[in-house]
Amino acid sequence: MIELKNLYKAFGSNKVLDDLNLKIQDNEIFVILGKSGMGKSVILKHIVGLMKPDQGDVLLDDYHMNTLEGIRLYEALKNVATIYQMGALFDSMTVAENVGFYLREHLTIGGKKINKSDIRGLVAGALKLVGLEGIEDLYPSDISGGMKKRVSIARGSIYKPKYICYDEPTTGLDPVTALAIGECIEKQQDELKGTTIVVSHDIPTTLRIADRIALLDNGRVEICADPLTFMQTKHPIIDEFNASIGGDLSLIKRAARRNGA
Amino acid sequence: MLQGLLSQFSFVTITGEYAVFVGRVLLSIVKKFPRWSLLRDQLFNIGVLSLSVVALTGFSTGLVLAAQSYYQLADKGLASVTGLMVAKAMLTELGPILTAFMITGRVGASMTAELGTMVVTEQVDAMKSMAVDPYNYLMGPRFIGGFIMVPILTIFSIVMGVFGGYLISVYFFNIAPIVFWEPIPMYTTSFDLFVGMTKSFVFGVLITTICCFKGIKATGGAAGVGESTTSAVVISYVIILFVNFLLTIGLNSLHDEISRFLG
Repeated sequence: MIELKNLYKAFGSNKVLDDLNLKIQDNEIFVILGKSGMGKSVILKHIVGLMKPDQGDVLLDDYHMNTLEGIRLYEALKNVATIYQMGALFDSMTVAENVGFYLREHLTIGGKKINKSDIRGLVAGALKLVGLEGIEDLYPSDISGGMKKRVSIARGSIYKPKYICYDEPTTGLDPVTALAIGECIEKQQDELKGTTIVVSHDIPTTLRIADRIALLDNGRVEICADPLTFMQTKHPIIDEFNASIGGDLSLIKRAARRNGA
Repeated sequence: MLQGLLSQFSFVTITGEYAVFVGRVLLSIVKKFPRWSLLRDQLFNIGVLSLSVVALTGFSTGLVLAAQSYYQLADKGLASVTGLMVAKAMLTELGPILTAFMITGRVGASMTAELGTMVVTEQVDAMKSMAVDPYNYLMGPRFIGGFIMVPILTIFSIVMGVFGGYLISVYFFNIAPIVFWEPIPMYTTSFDLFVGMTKSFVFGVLITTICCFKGIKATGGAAGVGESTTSAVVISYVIILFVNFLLTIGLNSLHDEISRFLG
């Protein structure tokens, strides 16, 4: 479980997080929704310990990510994968080397030892899961933006982390590719059965994949609910979101399926 | 006045950050020595790929140094010390300095640009997120590579410089080979070699740490990476020159003190 308690963060005079509280349960796709510049990515960086709060506590299972540094931070991060907005693939490595990076460095999956000779097969499997086969020897500069994001998802999921954090996974993609990325996120969640945290401002994808949604505004979580309750809540930003999709609540898929089941 | 104070404060802050950075790199190496494959890439990049440029610089400097020495000294009947002038100058000053400058321009600038690009495109964050320490994975091999290869390249530059000086002295100024070589072992001491090598070790450390530090601190996209690269090269040049002066004075004073103490 991830818990953010009374989180404050400011950059100079610009207050980004202001007494933010949030609890993310295990085994759910949790989407943090908000307009650009509201501090969504800042929350993600706090969760993975790459940014420290001015005040407050960030709990990732038993780890206090706000105080961890060095080896203890890296130990905690073995349970977490982060998928960056632009993919953040290593330019100097091939797709296969990118996807197998964690395995080469740690030679473990979910705490279990693996052999170096297994890596090639595991990389091919991870790429197949995101619908990319036969591109192992290409470099990031040879593939499209959507493919980069899927390679990045394969790189993050190959070591079966308990938590996967996605930073604006569909930004800059056409609707068809965004849909494919959304499906990819769901597939990974169903496969790994961990916890997925997505920060986004893409309403259609959010409604399609979310189990729960939190609205970030003025540095705090204003609303946190399942997609249907969320979209029916009266709030100026949610009204804007509703208007952008023409009030089409049939976009809610995953949560509806779960409720139906 | 306030601006002056602020700039001094900023200088102290940056110096402090640089010291912490160097400490973290050293600590990461001590805790876990970088993998051979990473180190091999850096040794090849810093050492082998710089050989031609260092050789050419050393050789041409040796030519010029010998020519200038000959023109200044021949009419005073001192043409016989041309070889010694070249050897002493290359060994204690020009070899280390010119090699350091070439490595800064060829390797240091690319280190800053590469690391800076990795920072602004979140590749370094991605590395940390996968529980891999960038100080150990990225900076450690570059630091060790510079520490090992800069002194080796300096020796190579010195040899090429003396060789260039020999060629022009013997074949252009018609100095007998024996006259060129004879004073060199008589007046060049092991202390001269010690000075040259100490300088090259220090320069190797300075180049890699300053350039990596500027790369890892890059912000603001492509323009920021460009700015960091320029400032890394300029700062490295200035610091190398200043440290060279301090080392020349410091090591020679130390040598004098030790000689006096030993009688």
